[in-house]
Amino acid sequence: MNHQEPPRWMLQFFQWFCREDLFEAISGDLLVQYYERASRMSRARNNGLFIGQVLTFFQPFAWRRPHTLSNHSIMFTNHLKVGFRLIRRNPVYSSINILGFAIGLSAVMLIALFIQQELSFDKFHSRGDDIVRFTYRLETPNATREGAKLPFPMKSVLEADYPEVRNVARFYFWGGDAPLLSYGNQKHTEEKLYFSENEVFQVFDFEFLAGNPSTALTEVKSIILTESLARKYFGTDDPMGKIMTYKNEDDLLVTGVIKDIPSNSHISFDALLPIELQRQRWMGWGQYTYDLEKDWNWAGAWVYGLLNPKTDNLAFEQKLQSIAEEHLNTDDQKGFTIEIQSLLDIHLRSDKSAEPGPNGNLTLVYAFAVVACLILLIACINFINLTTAQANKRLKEINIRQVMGAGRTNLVGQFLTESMILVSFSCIAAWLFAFLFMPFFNDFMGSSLSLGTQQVWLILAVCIVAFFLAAFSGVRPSVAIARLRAFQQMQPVRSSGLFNKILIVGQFAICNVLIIGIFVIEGQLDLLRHKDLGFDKEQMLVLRHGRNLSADQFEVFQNEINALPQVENLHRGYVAGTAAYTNTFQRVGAGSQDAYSLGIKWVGEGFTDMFEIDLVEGRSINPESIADIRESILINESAAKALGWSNSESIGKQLSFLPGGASEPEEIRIVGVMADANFESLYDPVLPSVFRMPQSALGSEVSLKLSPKGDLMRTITQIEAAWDLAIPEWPFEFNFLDQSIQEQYVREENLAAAIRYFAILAILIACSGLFGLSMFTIQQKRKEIGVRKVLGATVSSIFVLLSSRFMRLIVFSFLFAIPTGLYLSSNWLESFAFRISLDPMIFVWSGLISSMMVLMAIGLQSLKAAISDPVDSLRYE
Amino acid sequence: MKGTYLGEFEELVLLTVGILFDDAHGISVQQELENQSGRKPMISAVHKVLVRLEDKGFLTSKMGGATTERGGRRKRLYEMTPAGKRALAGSRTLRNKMWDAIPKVVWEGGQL
Repeated sequence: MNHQEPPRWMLQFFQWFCREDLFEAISGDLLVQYYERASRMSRARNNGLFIGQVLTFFQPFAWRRPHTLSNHSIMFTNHLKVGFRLIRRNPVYSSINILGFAIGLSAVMLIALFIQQELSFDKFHSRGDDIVRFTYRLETPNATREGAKLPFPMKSVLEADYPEVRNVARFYFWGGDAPLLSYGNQKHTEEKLYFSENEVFQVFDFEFLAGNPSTALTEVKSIILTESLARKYFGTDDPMGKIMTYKNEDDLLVTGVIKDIPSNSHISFDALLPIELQRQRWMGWGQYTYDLEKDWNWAGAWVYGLLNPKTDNLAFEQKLQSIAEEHLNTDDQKGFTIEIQSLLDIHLRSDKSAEPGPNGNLTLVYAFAVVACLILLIACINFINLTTAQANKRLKEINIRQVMGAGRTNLVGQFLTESMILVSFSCIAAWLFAFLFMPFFNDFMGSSLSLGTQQVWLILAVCIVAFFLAAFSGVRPSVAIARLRAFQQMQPVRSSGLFNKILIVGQFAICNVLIIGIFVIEGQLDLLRHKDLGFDKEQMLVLRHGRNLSADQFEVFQNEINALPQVENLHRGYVAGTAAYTNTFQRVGAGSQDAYSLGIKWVGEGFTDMFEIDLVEGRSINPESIADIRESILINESAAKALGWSNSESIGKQLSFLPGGASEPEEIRIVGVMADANFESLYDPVLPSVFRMPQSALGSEVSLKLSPKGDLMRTITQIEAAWDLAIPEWPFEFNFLDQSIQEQYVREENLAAAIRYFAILAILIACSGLFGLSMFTIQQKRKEIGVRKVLGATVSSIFVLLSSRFMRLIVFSFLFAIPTGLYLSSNWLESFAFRISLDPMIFVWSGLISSMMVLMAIGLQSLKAAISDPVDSLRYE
Repeated sequence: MKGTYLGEFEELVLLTVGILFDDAHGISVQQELENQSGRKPMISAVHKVLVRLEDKGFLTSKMGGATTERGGRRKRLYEMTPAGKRALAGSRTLRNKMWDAIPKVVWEGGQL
């Protein structure tokens, strides 16, 4: 014998979990083996083996059994059994209850995921709290403009004079560009090639797969690809060190591959090129003097800064104003201030001009949160109403249980178990539905959500909601019933108390608001789709690489096109309906404080003919006269109004402005006034604009007006042939103007789709609840109906009697819905400059629709009860 | 009542209990199994099967004497029940029957 003993705590643990009847024998066996091993191995090793052996016994056969004979567990099994029987006995009721709540819950889950995605934007950058974006605000006497971009030299000033800033990183991207990237015979126009610099990787966390983050953009002719872009050009080959060609001109060395930008990043690109490359290209590699790093007149870059931790942002912003004073505010233009915004605020709280991409919308997030809460509320109300109605039907059963000695806790336990069963089924079904609906949801929200195990918070939240619902819907009826004396219970209690009535009214008020919402959004969208914009956008083809045509090439192209009878018109210059640029103009002779922010559009010969815009006053610019091109401009009616002139007054008036990149202001004379047209989004009123002809046509868009007659495919093939003749090195790519204009309203279309689906869902859930509820009340009233019929009641009078109870509630709910719907829809419509007026018919229609739905839900049951033979219901009395 | 199906390892354990006759407990079963088959199962696996066989009614058990090697703990001694014997016999008969049903040619073919 020796004196080694196994660890005591392990034996205690073993005793804790092991069946009593097995513990003595098994632990004896283990001890025998332990003592036997003690002589031939170290104590630690022996203990280790012992612990391992005990752990192998941690499995069900050796676990302690619960006290199987305790009263509680017997009752619990009984409750479970009765609960499952109940579900089977009333399949319609059970499935309405389970599915109704499941569908509602799944919708809420999807919305919750969407909201989480929106709130998670840019949170993946580890230094996100210290990253800011520098922006500007321009206050002029008649307008305020906020822009997300600042001039390029901001970087050098920030780095030199502001110790608060650790690193400055800039991005540059121009959406109108059609950058062509090629490798071998692969040639694609890339949507999102951004220009940037090495500091980007010190500020942001973009993950490198290959290459060195601190030097990847040092070389002027280099490019960093994202994973998917690399795959597109190189397949499985290693892209590092390969040479790609940019715009057929510059050969770029691939110096890095990064992971794709996460979908919850506000800035998103497919490849990064050095800003220095753009600078050199514009300098003609030393031929010209224009240097973007010295240009304070052009706000072209998104400027981000990594600040020292705990920088006082307000004080820092104050200090920044000296930059604005020194560089931005000139004699001609005052009112610039530089602002900073936190990276984490950009996606939801920023809506400046020239954002990198469409930002989220905090209002939309709130709206969805509200919709989610409403749906959840409706679904819960349904569940509570149906469970209560069901409980009332079982008074006899409960009474017998009480007679047999069931107390209040026991009854509560029973109802709780039953509602827990229903809710658990619902949760499982909800998870399934959410999984199934996910692709559709992503489709119309334009989101990329997925449902997996990583959303533990969602599982937890669903469980909490489910638990509270089950608790409430289980405890409420059981407490109410238990309070009654036995003899009272033999009589049915009023099935629809005030509480249930309030719930039904609330439910349908919400539904009505949603129906009103559908009407208003659809009406507004219809307006956006069909509003006469004031210019012709049909059959209009816009070439993507048109700006690369040299004057000679354009002439070749034009000659070829003119020979095509299907092409009615060809225009080189501003394309109606596309992005607007603004500039500050002064009325000549009105003093230096005079400043107007007007749109400026560089139009080509025949702009008004091309887009069918009327000239209401004066003449157009004579394309033959160089002097006329240099001095004359057209304005639109809104511009005349903004400048304080009538149409006829404005002819001959002079304006001065500072063109981008120029150092001296230019003076121009108004020769004609154009009718207003909505070139920009219908969110805004018509932008007061100046139309000018460029002195050379270089760098402007080419658009073609096609004849509505003729074979479209053939026409496009012929245009492509003409294009290939003129400029074969650029691919022939185009957009249709009406489509690109429609894309502006994608967000509204999506919102409409979302509201529509969710409203239909809410109404379906509410109606199914009403269906279930009416089924129960009618069953309860079978005898009453029988007696009434015997005494001579007509079918119609019974039908009215049965359905009027619910219809009254619906009408009542409508009284709440009208003001709420009115308030919400007028609020939403305010964001549009062109909006529908709220037609009272909308409210009438939504009322009619919801009444129809309700009638359908309860009518069939009522009718069935009304025409039933009283013999059936009274036979057993 | 659980099913009376007898798994392969269960059958071995049951046979071992039979061999050990009056001293069949966890460790002795484990050792005898090692002697007979050459494989040493984990002690937990042995106990698991013993418990299961008892649940199925093939074994009964009683508590035996305590010794100092066992830390003063008693053994649980297992014994085969008539049902256990029947199950073993049934399993043997089934095997014999199926063994006999294999055509001779299979054995001859197996030599090719």
